[in-house]
Amino acid sequence: MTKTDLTLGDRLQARGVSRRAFLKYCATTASLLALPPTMVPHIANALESQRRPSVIWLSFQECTGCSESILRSNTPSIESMIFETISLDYHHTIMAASGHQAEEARKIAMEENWGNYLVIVDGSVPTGNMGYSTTAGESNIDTLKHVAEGAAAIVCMGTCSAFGGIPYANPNPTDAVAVSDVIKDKPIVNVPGCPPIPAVMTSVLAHYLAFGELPELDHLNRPKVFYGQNIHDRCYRRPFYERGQFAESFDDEGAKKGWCLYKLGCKGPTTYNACAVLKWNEGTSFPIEAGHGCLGCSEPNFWDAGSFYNPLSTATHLDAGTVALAGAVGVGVGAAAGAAARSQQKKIKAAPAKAFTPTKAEEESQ
Amino acid sequence: MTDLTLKDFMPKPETGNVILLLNEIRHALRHLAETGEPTTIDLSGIPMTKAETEEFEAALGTGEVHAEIDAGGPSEVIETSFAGVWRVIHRASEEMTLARYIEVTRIPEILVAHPSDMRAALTRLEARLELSSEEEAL
Amino acid sequence: MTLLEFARGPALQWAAVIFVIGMLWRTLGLLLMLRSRPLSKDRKKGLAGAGVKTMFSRFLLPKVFAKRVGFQYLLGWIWHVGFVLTVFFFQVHVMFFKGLVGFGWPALPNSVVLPVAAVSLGILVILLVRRMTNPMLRYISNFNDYSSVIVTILPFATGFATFTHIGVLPYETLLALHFLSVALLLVWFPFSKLFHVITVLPSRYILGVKFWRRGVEA
Ligand code: HEM
Ligand code: SF4
Repeated sequence: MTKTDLTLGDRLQARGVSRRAFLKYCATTASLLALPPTMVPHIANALESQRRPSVIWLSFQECTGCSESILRSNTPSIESMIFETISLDYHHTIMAASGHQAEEARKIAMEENWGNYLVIVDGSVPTGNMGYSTTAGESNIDTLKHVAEGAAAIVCMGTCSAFGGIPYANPNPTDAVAVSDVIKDKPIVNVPGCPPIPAVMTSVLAHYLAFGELPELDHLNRPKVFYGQNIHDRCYRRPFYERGQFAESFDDEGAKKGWCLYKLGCKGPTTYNACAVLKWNEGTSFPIEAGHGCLGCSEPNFWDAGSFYNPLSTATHLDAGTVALAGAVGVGVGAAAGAAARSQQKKIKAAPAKAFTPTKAEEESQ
Repeated sequence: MTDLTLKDFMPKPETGNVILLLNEIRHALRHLAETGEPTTIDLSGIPMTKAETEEFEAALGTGEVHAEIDAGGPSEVIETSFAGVWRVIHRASEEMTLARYIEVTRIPEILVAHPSDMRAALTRLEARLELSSEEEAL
Repeated sequence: MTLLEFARGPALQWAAVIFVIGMLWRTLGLLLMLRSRPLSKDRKKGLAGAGVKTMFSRFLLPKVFAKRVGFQYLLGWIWHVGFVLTVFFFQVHVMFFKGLVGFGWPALPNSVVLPVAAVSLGILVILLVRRMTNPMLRYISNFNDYSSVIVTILPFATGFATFTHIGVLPYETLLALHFLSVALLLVWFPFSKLFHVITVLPSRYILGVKFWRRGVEA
């Protein structure tokens, strides 16, 4: 019996994971995905009866932070349960094989599961000089194209693969693009964040495994359950925002009293993510709770959306210099207009008085 | 637009969900008593203020059973002062609550021993006994 | 570029540039024009002082007209004060100006600014409706009047929508609309009747001087 033929129940038993822990996992996943509690047995059945689906994880221009986020979640955690339910056949960082053996493993997984495997991508895809990022001599874009061809769906983990992220930021030296800019004919779900919340990543996978389809997505292909509300709407500092009580610096009285971080550049109002609810590090806290404004890392172009420390209510392209320049131009135009008016007036004065003849407009209005 | 008052800008003091929820539990309990069919309510989908959560928990009170489960992180099962109405809280750690459910049932599924666990337990127990009888024979 | 990025960036930038150029252009253009020399003899001395007096006397309600224009006067006053308080003393607005000029100033608490803004918005709407329903006002109003009132209402309406996170649109769209409505106001300002902010006092002065020269003490 190969390891993929074992049922999930068998594997869990072998790992000493009790049925209770598994049920807890299913209940938690259902709750995270906002599914009705009646779906819990369905999820349990679906996950249990599945042969482990093959998953190929492609890493392009990335920092491995997303992998760290999903893998380092305090094992043995509820999130790590997902790795019992999938067969992660290819992942640079954690696979035992290396070099051409690793590539071989990927080819075999693809051939055996053509049309059915799931592709996870972290990192953006360079389109400039192909030498910027290659694996076994193959450019990222070529790898993506032919691995995607046999995929059932693609999950973009992290802002880089979802929206281009940091490699895409100005001046984008590698001409990086998001996966969705390259692949147009496959279902794609974006799970942005720098990195994304572990439970969000695993729940999206669990949803796909349990129901055979992606969860409901928003206009940026993000799962609505996790990215449907902005940070600001769920932020516990919101009452201070409403009252206009803002911390002015990171160590003033307001900061100590836990006032709103808007003035310090918090991007919570324009950032859609679940940090304020699910939090980080086993629910310890999230950036705003730790005293720093939200950077907006799960939004497209977050790196180029003005300074992290400028309030949202400041203009990004406007400064005193521009205004001064406009002022100088204004003075010039005004002086010219004035001079023109003067000479016109003088001309009129010098001309012999004419009898009043109404203009066309004046005639009409009479 | 003009008849907005300042109160409209403040977070709502309460959601009013406590009473709705208690009524839902009443229906579920009646259903359980009459037909034996259980109901589960996911509390994470029901917004409540901190004060309301406390009010809700106080209204339910605590009953005779309080169980702690250590499976993939600590979970808690509390029977409320109403027999058949349970609070089930799943946590990843002490701080992180993963899911909160109200289960209206004779006994929450998570508490009962499951066949697969029992089979595995039996195997282990048998192995243990064989081992000790071997030891005795020595 | 998202709508918000556009609004926060190029839209406000260009609007501000047009605003500054437009304001200076029109102000200087008017200032530099030749004034006609009076043909008659002055009946009084110290006309400059008289002109200054007229500039400010008109801020008060003349008793004889109290009944007819009292309502308008009162609303006008409250509106203009409300506008200044909202635009320059609302916390988030002070942040905007600080981002622009490098320094801020004390802001009013939201519990003061929000009611003030609500009242100002209400007054604008009332004045607009009055302009549309009162036959005399309607007769003397044209596109310039209506458009200026509406363009001024928009930042208030969108500002409230943004602040209250009104549910119809996502927050960043509301925010973008607020910024765009401000941009529209900035562009419209120098070329419409809103320009009265600059011309109102000088023209009162000129009028005052003219009146007093002829012996009309107004
Ligand atoms: C004529 C009236 C108004 C003008 C000219 C005005 C102007 C502005 C400007 C220039 C900004 C900053 C734009 C930027 O970020 O680049 C701003 C932001 C803002 N304004 Fe106004 N505003 C007006 C009325 C209001 C009102 C009545 C409210 C609501 C009470 C309001 C609420 C806001 C809010 C909430 C922001 C910051 C957005 C945020 O929360 O992130 N504004 N406004
Ligand atoms: S800290 Fe940020 S997210 Fe929280 S209320 Fe203030 S602006 Fe909104």
